[in-house]
Amino acid sequence: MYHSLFINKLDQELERIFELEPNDLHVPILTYIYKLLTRPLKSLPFVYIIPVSFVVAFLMYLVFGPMVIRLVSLLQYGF
Amino acid sequence: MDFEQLLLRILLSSIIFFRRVIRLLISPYKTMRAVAKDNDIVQLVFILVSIGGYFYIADKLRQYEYRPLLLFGLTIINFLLTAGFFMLLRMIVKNETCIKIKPVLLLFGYSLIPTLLWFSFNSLLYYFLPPPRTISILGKGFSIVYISFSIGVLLWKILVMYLAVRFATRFTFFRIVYSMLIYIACVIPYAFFLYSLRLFRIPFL
Repeated sequence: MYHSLFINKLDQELERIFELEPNDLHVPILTYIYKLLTRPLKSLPFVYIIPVSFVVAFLMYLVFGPMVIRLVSLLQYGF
Repeated sequence: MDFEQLLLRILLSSIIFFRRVIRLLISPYKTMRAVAKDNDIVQLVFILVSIGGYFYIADKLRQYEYRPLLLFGLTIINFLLTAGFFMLLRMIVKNETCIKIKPVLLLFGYSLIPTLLWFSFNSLLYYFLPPPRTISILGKGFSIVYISFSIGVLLWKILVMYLAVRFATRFTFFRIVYSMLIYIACVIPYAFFLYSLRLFRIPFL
């Protein structure tokens, strides 16, 4: 009985996983890169997103300087 | 359905809604996959009420030119047009004649959560720390934190929107990219039109 329950659950899980057609970018290396990049984003994406955002914001400040401060004022006024 | 059942359903939907909003942060893929199978329209009502609440509170925090009801109405139209656009695209590309509308509306409804949070934080920050920002150390520090927060929410929005299109249309990567490009090409003139009416907050939500 437990065995059939387990098989049923496994079937449902597999059905859920393969409900959508897997992404194929037609070039194996591109598909590999796509899967490599998207795998960590499926669960806890903020572990990657927060450091990336901080680095980009800091680089923006280093490159554009006071323009970033003006952009923040503009965004605050605008929205 | 009697009153008790209706109340219970609303309560259950509210719990699922709040859980999904948090889980959208933790595991967006699994959450959107679950949303794609759902038919519970009460959750969509919660999303729309949150958006309406945002417009109402934002109007109290800072006076906008237009009434919150008008902005809310335009947001609903924009939301329906977006969901309709991708449903139409799916019907054309996949030759499907029958598509379940409720999961599609729920998917695009949940894709509004990141921007709704950004707009809400922005309004609160406007109230507590009104602009303009200065070039002092605190001003620079705030600007970097604000920009990084905005980039983070933008990346989250792109991720959730991608998943919404993926589950709503069942397209693969390149088709999603092409459909997003067509969508953006349609949205730009519409955004300019609304901008000319000084209603530029709508397309971004």
